[in-house]
Parts: sequence; structure tokens; C-alpha cells
Amino acid sequence: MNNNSIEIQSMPMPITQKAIRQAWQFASEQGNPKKVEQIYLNTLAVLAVRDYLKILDIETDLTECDSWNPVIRIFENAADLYIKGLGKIECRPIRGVHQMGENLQDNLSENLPDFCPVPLEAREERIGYIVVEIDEDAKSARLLGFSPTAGNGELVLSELHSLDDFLLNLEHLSESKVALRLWLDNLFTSDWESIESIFNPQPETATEIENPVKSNLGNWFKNLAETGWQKIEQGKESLENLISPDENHNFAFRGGGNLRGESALRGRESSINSFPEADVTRAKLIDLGMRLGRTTVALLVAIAEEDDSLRDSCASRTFRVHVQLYPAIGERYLPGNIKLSLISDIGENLHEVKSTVQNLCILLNDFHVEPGESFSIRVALDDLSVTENFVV
Amino acid sequence: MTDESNPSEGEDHPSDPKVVEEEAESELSDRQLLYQQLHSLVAQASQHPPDGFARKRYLSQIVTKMKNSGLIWKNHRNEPFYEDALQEQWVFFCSNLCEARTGTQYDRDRSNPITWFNNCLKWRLLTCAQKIVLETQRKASIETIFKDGEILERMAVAEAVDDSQIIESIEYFQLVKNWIDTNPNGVLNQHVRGRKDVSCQVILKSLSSGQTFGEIATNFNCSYSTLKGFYNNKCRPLVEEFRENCEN
Repeated sequence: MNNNSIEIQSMPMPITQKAIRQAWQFASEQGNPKKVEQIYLNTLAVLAVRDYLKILDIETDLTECDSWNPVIRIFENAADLYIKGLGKIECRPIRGVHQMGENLQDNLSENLPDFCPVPLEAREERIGYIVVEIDEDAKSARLLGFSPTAGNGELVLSELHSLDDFLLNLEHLSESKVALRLWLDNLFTSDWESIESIFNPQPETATEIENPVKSNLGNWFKNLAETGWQKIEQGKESLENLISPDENHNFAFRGGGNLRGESALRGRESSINSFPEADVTRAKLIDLGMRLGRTTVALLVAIAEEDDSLRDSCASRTFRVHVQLYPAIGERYLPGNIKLSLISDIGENLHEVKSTVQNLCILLNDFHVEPGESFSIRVALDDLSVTENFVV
Repeated sequence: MTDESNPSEGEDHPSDPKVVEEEAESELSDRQLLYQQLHSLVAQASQHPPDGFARKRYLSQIVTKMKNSGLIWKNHRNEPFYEDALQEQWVFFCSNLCEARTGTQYDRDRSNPITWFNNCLKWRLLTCAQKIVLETQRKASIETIFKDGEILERMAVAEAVDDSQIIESIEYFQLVKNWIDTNPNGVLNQHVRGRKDVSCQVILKSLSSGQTFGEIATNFNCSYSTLKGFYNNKCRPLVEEFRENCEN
């Protein structure tokens, strides 16, 4: 994108009186001139992006932001804006040297620096970056463009994406969330597979994936009896067997994939026993990168609708969610130091479990999710991580 | 107020009166082209459901085009509330462009979006100006009529709100500063492993003076990933705890 197209594609936002008052209020807390300027500009940038999103009827919540936290912003260079249900966008202010007040169209962005630095504290837990040119004289905050990542800590202005790309990104984010409620209706995205197809990757399984076996798990909830899973209860029991490693850490499939309830292989660490009421359980293979060869692990997510019969029966019910992480087939133990984390929709790390030297599997404490709420599960090894987003 | 009655005044405001005719002609056809583009974008936006991202993307394109056209009614009277009114008007515009949600819907048979926008904006500016006049008069009359009594007190309270918020904020900052300086119970003594000189207290003090993590790392000759990791795991939880205690 050259300077000219920055102008055409960028979005000038008015700097309102309200915004200036707010920015002064926040900045006036500070004793240090550098912090005063930093907080003043950050606040204006955040409000400019907030106003832009408001025009498009995209909801934000400032109370969830470090930039709006009177204590955190004393220490951190925070210009984060939380977009409801999607995550935090970082609004980085830059100042152009404005020469001729009137001729905005001509000399805009000629006096801008080539880069916009991203402070260290803003390089994590962001869904993207918007660079905002603050021009106080013209009372204009120009949204110059978007970057999905912080790069190596500097955003090159000429390489920024358009705001249309930003909106596309938000759209993908909202679509990429795994809608757990759909699981109850037997609707899964292709990467969330049944337990047997994940943990029994034998040649014949490949054909099983195509046939109705795959749908069995989802249909448990509807109490549909199918070949191989004769009753819902039996199905659940089989599930226990499936993912409960026995002492040899073989999954229940080892007898040629006989999944019937009788193949009881009750492992001592049978963690699914702690969640016997699962309505649906699915798993996904996660590939953690290339550094020392592939590390593949299986993320297992089980859900149960809470039986709160006291509540209005029409209302959507709370989900109880159970999350486990297993090594890929063929491996006995998880790699050491692999982290499994529950992340709130604003990027807070709510709970984290780390594998030690010889873990057969690790699991998060069960948690409850209200209808409409989002959360993420992150699997991380060294500096590689994969995040899965869910919504109930 | 004559210009308020002419809907196209905002657009027909040549910044340079010496425009040669040829340029004026090409400007006009450019404008026709812009109107056509906007017309078709509005039509496309209307085909998508209001809450979907497809609609939002079209709206964003429409707003960008309009804002960068130079045809939006400017702050000719240099009114201090112009920017606030402008932002309100954009929100109104997008809410009512495709269907009536908060007011009268845009009628594409009557005008192009820019004319409609400018008309509404002018009305909004006028209303703001009138409100301020009324407010000033009301205050003046209250102050003269009620020398004491409830109403006067209420007015005074309303005016003091802004200042009190700022004072509260400054107090907050003093509390935090005091907390770092006094380090109650040695809670800020934790330090980067093997580096007693790089404690929570030192890091927080440096950060509050506007130093970046990079600068602090250089000053203390430690890697900035170590420093950031220590801050995330040790300092920030203390800061959050402190804030919670303040609020309780």
C-alpha cells in the first residue's frame, strides 16, 4: 500500500470533546511527562477505534481493557480495546508532523514515520493491530490500517492491510469459534473428530470415518441406538474405555477396534470417570510445529448440559466442559513442559496445567460456561502454540 | 441561516475560488461517479442482514469513501461541539441507511447519501448550538432566581462531576506511587532469579516513569524476555491484587 492508497483506504475519525476530556483525565493521573503523553495518545487512539466500531455497530467493552485500568496503565503502555466475544485489538497511536492545517489531503502521511513500534506488552493476546495517526490540530484521528500480527515489533506503515481486511479478520474470528451447542445436534466441523477416528488411526478406520460411525457420539444425546453403540449408557461406558489409558497406555481400540462396552479397560487414571455425564465428546489432532520434528497431540473436549431443572426450561442451559490432552497415537507420554491453558475471551489465562516428564495425559479442572460465552483452549510447547476458540 | 436551507451547500464549497472551468467540469463528473458508486454500495449493503459482517464491510466502505471525498460539511463556524456531533451523525447515518433503526430512513429517491448526511449534520449542529444557548440561559436564570435552595445545589453538583473525577484519578496515582515507595511488608521484594537488584519494586518504579521493558532490560543488563516473564508472573499479579484491594 503506498501513501496515496493509505489516504484513500484509511478512515479519518473526529477527535471528540468527550475523547479529549477522557484522555486528559487519564493522563493527568501521571507524574511523569513521558507517561502523560503516552496515556493521552493511547486513550485518543483507543477511542477513535471504538468510535469507528460503534459506527459499524460492533460492540466493545472498555472495562475489560488494560488501557482503561487506572493501575495497569501506570505501568504498561496499553492501548488495547476489547471487542465483545472476539478479543482485543491494539490501537497504536502515532503522531504525524502536521505542517499546513488546511491542506489535509495533500501532505497527509508524507510526514509520518515509516514504522510504528509495538511495545512488548502489546505483542501478546491481541487479535490484531490498528495504527492511528493522531492530529490534534485538525482534531482528526486517522485509522491508517490493520496488521494481524505485531511482526517483529514494528509495523511498517506501507505494508498495513486495509480496514476491510480487519473486518474480514473479525468475521473469520467469529466464524472460527467452535459452536459447542451445535455438537448437541450432531453438527461438527471436520477437524473435530470422533474419539475412535482420532485414537484408532488404522487403515480400516479411514473408511469408518466416512460411515455413520462418526455420527454416533453426537447422537448419544438424542438417545439414538446404532450398531456398535447399543444404548446411550453403553456408549458412555465405551467412551470411558476409549480414552482411559490402561497401564500400557493403549487405548481401548487395541483389540481391533472393538468398541463394545465389554472391552472394559479401566485405567487407574481414568480421568473421564470424573466426567461420566458427558453428552458429547470430540477430539482434534493438534500439530505443534516443526522445530524438532512434529509433535502431535490430541485435544479432547467433552461437554455436558447442566441439569438445572429449577431454571426456566426454555432458557439455554449452562455447559460443563471437560478438557484433556493426550499424546498422539504411538507415543506413550506427552512431551514434557507442554502447557494446556484455559483462556477467557479477553485473553486472560484463567487456568493452566503443565506436563511433567512422564505424563500420560493432562487435564484442566472442569469449568462452566454460560450460553453466549466464549473461551479458548491453548496448547503450547516452547514458543509454539495453537489456540482453539469455542462459544456456547 | 440561509445556507442551512440549501441541502448541497456542504458539497458545493470550493476551497479555491479560482478553479478553472475545465477542472470544475471534471470535478463534477468525478462527483457523479462517486454518487453512482455510493448508490450501488448502499444497494449492496441493503441486501445483507443488518448484523452480519457483509453489511458492516459495505458500510465501512461507504463511510470511508464519503469521509475521504472532502464533501462532508465542515466546521465552518468553528464550533467546539462539531466533532462530537459529527461522530453522532455517522452512527445515525449507518443505523438508518438501509432501514429505519433509530430515526428516519435514508430515501435514495430523494437525495444521494452525502446530501442526506450533510442535511442531518447541519440540523444536529443547530440543535447542539440551541441546547447550549438554552442551558446557559437556564443556568443564568437559576443562579439569579434561586440564591439558595435545592435546585442551585443540584446544579453545582452536576458541574463538579468532571473535576472530581480528575481529582480521584490523581489520588489513585498517589496511592500506587505510595505503595511502590513504601513497599508494605516487603511484598515488592521478589526479584529476578540471581538478580537482587532487579526487584518488583525497581521494575514497577521504572515502568511508571515511562521506561519501556526494552530500556529497563538494557539498564539492568538482563534479557527482556526474562524481564517480561518476571513481570507477567510476579509483578502484574501484585498490581492487580493491589487494585482489587483499593476497590474494596
